[in-house]
Amino acid sequence: MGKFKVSGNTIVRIDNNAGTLVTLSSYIDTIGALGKEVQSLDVTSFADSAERIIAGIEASQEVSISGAWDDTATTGPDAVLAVLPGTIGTIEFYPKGTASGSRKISGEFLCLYYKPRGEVKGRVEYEASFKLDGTISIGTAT
Amino acid sequence: MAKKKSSDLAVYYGGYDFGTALTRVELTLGINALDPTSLSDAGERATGGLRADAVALTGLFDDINSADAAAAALIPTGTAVLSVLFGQATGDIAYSGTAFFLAAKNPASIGELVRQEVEIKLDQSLDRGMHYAKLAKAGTGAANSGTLDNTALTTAGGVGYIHVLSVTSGTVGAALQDSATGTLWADIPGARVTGSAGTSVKVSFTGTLNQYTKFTMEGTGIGTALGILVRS
Repeated sequence: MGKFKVSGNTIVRIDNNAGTLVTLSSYIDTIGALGKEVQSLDVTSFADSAERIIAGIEASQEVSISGAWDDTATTGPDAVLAVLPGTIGTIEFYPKGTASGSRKISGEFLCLYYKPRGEVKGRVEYEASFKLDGTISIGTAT
Repeated sequence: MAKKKSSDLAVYYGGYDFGTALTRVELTLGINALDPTSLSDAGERATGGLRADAVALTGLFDDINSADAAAAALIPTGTAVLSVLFGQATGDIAYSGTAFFLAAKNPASIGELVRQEVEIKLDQSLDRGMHYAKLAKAGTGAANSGTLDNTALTTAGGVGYIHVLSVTSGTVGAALQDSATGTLWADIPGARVTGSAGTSVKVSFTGTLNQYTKFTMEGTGIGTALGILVRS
């Protein structure tokens, strides 16, 4: 066990609009921070000499992915992501790959947007953003 | 199928080619997120609201580019078709929709090129489809795009977009056509426009759309046009 480079290790799978997980790792060069986060609720009373808190429900969080735009049919990012805004599906994030026992972070996410864009002298790129619906699962690959 | 560079992109609005004026284009296919979280939920919830697509264009002013001409001709007239092409070949991806041309402004400051700020607001959402390579017709006779083999027919209809980009003489007709065999062709109902330069149309059709599709230009005139087809 140890530290791991992203390249060749990190796997990202996203439900397509038919509810089938598609591995998009080959088309992603950046994914935002994704993990568990709870709300902090202040329960400080007159009797306390310091501020008190309790954990609330899991906070909603947004995660985005981005990379080079690619029009590969059916399994490419444009084919998969263009029809997702407004739908809720599973995202699975494996920081060091999908070997049995490897860390798996997953949840149900609402796709907020998909943005293809191009700028002169650059590659055509895309970005997609997802908002957590419910709670994150921290588990392991099987 | 592949990744693309900036010169693979093309932007058309209302029958005008914006590509030479633009330095950046960004499309947003998005929704408004609504919060349905209730007391029984262990985590915040999210659900989709209204569709909220958008387009952002920036560029450089050029008095011979058609973005400037389009601004002069189209800003007061209502909606026209916006199409953004990701590639120049028949079968490449294109996003299209109808949109208002709200504003075109040319900010300038010392030491910089005069810029072109274009504000176009989408009416409803963008459609993802495939386009046919831009046709140039020289005189009598027809000009035809390559044929797209869509593997099978669909009974769910679709949407067609046509831009007539230039007509330098005579009359030019432009149409999206389909065929069950790839040899006998007929217009997709309503998907034909006979017009002058700076014309764009959106046509929705229901029912059967055959396996093979193409874009054609006919008539006596000389001109250029572009067709885009979205199969449902």
